[in-house]
Amino acid sequence: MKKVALVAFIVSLAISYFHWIGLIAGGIASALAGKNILRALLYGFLFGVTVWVIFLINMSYSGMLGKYMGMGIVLYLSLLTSILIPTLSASVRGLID
Amino acid sequence: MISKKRVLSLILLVVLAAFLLSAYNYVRLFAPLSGEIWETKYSERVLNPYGRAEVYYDEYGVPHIKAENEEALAFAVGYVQAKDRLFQMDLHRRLMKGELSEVFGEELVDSDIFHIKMDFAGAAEASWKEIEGSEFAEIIKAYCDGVNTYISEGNLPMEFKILGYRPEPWSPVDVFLIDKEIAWGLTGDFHDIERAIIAEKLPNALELFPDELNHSYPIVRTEKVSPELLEWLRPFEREEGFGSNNWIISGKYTADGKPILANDPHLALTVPPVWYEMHLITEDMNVRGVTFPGVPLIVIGQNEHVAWGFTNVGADVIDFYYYVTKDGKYLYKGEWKDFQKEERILKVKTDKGFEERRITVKKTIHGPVIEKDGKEVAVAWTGLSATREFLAIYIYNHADNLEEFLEGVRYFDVPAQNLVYIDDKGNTMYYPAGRFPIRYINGEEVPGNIIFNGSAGEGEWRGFVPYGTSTWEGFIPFDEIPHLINPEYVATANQRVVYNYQHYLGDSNYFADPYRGMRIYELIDSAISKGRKIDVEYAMEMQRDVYSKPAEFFIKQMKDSSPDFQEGVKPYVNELLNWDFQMKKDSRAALIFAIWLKHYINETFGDEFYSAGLDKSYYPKVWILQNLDEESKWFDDIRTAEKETRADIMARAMEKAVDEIESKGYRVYGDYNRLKVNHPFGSILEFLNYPPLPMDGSKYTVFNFRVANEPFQAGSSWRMISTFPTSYCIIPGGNSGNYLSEHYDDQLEDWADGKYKPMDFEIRGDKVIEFEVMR
Repeated sequence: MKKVALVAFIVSLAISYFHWIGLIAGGIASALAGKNILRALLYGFLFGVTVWVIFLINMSYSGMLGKYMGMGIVLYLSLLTSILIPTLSASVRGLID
Repeated sequence: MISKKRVLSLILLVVLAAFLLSAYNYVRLFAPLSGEIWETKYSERVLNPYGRAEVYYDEYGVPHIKAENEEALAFAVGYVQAKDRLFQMDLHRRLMKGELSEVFGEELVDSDIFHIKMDFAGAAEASWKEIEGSEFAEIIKAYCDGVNTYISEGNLPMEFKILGYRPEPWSPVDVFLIDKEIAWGLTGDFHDIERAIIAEKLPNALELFPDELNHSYPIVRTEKVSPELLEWLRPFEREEGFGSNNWIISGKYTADGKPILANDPHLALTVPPVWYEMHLITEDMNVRGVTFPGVPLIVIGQNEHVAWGFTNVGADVIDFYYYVTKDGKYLYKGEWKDFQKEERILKVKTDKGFEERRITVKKTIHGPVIEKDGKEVAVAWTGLSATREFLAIYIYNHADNLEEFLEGVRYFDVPAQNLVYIDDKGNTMYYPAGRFPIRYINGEEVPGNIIFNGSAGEGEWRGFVPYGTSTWEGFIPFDEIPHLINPEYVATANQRVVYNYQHYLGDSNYFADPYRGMRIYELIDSAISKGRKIDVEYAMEMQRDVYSKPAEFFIKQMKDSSPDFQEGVKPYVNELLNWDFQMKKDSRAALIFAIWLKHYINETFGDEFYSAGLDKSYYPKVWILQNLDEESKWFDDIRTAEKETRADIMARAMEKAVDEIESKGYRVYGDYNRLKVNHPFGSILEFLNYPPLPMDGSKYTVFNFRVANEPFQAGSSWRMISTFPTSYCIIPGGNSGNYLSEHYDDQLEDWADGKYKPMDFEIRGDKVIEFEVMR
């Protein structure tokens, strides 16, 4: 199960590069990995953080990190999107149990 | 029984669904990694139906575009401009076509109605038809193909993604819409209506608007309208703050014996900047400088042989006509004529979707009719005809010498511009190029600053055809326009062109206060009289000059008048009296002067003008105030029993200035004189605005910055010092309109500090786009 969850996690990350649906997929992968709903939510949260950190690295590599950090409301919305969607998606764990 | 976990899961999933439904657009746009606004990639290889081309971007994001022929070049220029400035192009097109409210809603309906009623689109179409079929038309078509290739294949700027629409294809008529916008922005004013209102409401004040301002620094040193109508029109007229400086100095007075040209047009300071810098190369042409996005030519700049620059002449090239009307017809020379009418649809974005409104475009033989609350006038403006200034500029781009260049000048119709020129053979030239109408009433030549009786055929421009091809025979012939070939030096700063000219060009309201022109001539005269040879560095010092001529004059008057200042303001007065008149951001005296002058103008004219229902937009020029007699009736406050003099008003203005300075907590000039250059979305997405900066300079200094201009601050929109082979330049911001680009605002601080970057003919930077031929 852990292997499946890990693969799902990686695939979700890859999807997140191209579409925000990857954030939902990441949440569902977290649900698979979590033993209970609280664990799933935690993994979903961590998935969101991972996506955001990768995004920061990407922006830094493209020389746009400073610009991003100056974007105010857009910065907060992107962070919110990154964290909230996979975390809430991971709550699907509660329906599986 | 549903478990608590399930309930929690269901609740959280409902929250997720609600979030996705309500914030779908934000997620689509801003999601990390996949959000649409993070996409910055562009094609490095593009098919070009016209031939091969290469684009290099230098360290300032300036494209150097090299192509095997001119059509291939134009295609690449279109593609690159769309990549860097497409939203700006579309915004300006929407403004001129009257389509802003389709995107931005009700707030811009008035603007759209004005632009639809003026039918600028019809005028642009007439200009396009005039050149369609020529060699130049092929360049325009190739340019549009380049823009449209980018629109269909490229990554749209984030503003389109946020607003959720795709731009329509760019057409040749759109190129000329940009032309009409520039022309209207520089010559479309309503001084004649303003004058008529002053004549009605405050007739004595006409003495404050003389035919000419009595200064000695010309360039060439040898009840039909209502306040409500004007109020409605004001936002759409040329901005008072617009103006420019340029000067040329022949090799006789320069350090290396080559002529020098300096130019800085004072236009709106916007995000992105008004100008876009480019370097264009073919086998027959190597030209660089700036253009307006949407236009495939270098508008101000130089090639390897000639350089040119503009300032606005400011001449009166717009007139207004009233008519006797009956049963929906208007009387014209004894005959009842139908208004030419056409229905247009204005689409307005509302909360409930799009709303369509019918707008009637109404025209007479003289031009479009504009009306408000039953008051209506027809407008004749030179730019409403087919005009050929882009053809002129196309010829400038290619000219190798004065003769070829002058051939182009003949085509420059509107906006009338003080054109200065130098070349690598040492020639210089000044030509106020454009169409200047001559008006007659009963066979006698008259000035154009009145509202004409259109029914009687008064003041008509012979040979002028709105929305068609004009023959221009009723205009000042090209060869008779006062000009100078090979002058030793000339400075233009929107002041009156020449004195005692046989034809009316405009009254004092049309031309700028003479302070900048005065100062530029002083600086050149001073260098020459001291035997100093002028070089590029001196020209830069001139463009950086912040000496205030009004300060010099008014503070001398203050010393002469010895006002009875209150004790509390005396420390402020002492700072002024011991000041060097430099409008520097760290100067306290400059702050005191700027605020005091504002109050001095208001305290002098406010009582009479406001009592007559006229606001400060009707006030006369500062030069007029400066030249009022010490006992002038305009200094008397009509609201008091006493008779005030200049000294009394100076003292009163100082008290008000000190109050303002202290209440607002200003310490130095830069606290008040701050750059605020905002993006159209800047009120919501503040990061798109340029950072605010304290600024040197004022409206009256050569280093030009107009802090109080509305709706945009104005100032030097492009500084250029041209000579051969290396020139220098800067724009207020950056060459890219894309926020995520490193060239979004990379020139801003240097511009504010009066610094320059080199402008030569080397191709710099890496090749980033290659245009290949279709096989």
